[in-house]
Amino acid sequence: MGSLFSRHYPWLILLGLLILQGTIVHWLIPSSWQSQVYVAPHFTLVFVLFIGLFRHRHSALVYGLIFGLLQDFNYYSSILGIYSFGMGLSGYLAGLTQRRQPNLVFYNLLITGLGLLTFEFINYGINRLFKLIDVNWEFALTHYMLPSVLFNLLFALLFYVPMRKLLEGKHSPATGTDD
Amino acid sequence: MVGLICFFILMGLTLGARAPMTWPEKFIKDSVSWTQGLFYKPAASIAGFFEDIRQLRVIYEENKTLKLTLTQYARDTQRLNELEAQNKRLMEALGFTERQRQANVYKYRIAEVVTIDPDPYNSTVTINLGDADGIKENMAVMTVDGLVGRVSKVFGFHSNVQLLTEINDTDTNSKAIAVTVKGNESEPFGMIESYDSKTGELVMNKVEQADSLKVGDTIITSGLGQVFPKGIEVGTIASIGPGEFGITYKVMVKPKATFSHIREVFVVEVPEVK
Repeated sequence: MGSLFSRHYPWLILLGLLILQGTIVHWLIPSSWQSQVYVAPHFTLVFVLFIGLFRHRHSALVYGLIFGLLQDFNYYSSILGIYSFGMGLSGYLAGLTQRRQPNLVFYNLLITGLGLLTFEFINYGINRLFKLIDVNWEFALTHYMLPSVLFNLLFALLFYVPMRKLLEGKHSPATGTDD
Repeated sequence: MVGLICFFILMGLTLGARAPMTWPEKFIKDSVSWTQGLFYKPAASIAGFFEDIRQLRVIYEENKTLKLTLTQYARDTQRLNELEAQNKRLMEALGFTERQRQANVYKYRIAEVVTIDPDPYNSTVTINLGDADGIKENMAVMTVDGLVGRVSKVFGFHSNVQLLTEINDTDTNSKAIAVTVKGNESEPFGMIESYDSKTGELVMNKVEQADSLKVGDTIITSGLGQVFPKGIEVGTIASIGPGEFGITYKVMVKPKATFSHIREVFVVEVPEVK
């Protein structure tokens, strides 16, 4: 039972974050912010980026695709596939930048921030490409993308240590047993 | 024998009611009382101290039960506040449906919002009425303040509502709203085709005659497009300006409903759509 949980916890955590970001965070953001900027919580994306950084990039790609697809299905209104493409690609790219020790906090958070920015660009780009929105670039950058990136980066900063321990803790027992 | 007589005299003299005490009596009484007071107060406090220790256990138990009762009251008060707020909202909604019942023959189904898409480019709201409750695509969705959106996709027990903030003239999935002015429904005509995120206003195009419009008029749906039923309030005119090619006018409409923090909405069911 314990090993069952520890093997499949990324699914549960991602599912929990998905439900959380669609419901509670919307009410937590003070409405004085909401009139000026739009902050979009992408906690599932942050976790997928962490999977890419601390696990393998292929698992980040798979998790990103699956949970992006889940979000697309859930909030389907005009097109399917934006989130799955965006999350999968960002997770994969984050996984490509994996380094060995020393694994600094600053470096990982920088990659997380860049991954979030990449996702926002993909999101905006595909929406503009298929003419689903006509918000112009500067407005979207200052009102949607940068606040969202900062907000999600704050979330990443807060949960960096527990998530890293959770994701990396699987590797250390494997290297310990050698006889 | 003499002593006995003295005693009788003393008793006889002091028997009745007497005026103020004589000074020896006062002196003796005061000195004795003062000395007694020296002993009485500490004795009382010491006895009180032991009494307090005995009572400490009782007071402790009493404090515990009082604290429990207090937290229970706090919880009850919080629940009461929550129920009161909900009651107020639902009464408002009920009053609203009653008023509308006299005005139109639409059926207003109340639905609760379940989740909101966090994406800024795709503000889909999910409500908890679906195919099983008879919701069909393209039904108009409104709050007490005004039109909020349109049902875009219907699932088994939930539906996705596309908000007015996403109306777009280039997207094939968004539908424009044919609108007119309240109070003068036959003359003015316009189409709300897009939403300007910068100013937060809806853009109403294809207005031919702007002389019957003035700033502050209420814009309602006209029902001419066969998509949105007529008579639903959309917003108020914020400004009137020249439109495309200078032929028609472009009117900016400020929406009446707020699009953030929505909890309950109404889905408008028109009888003939069934």
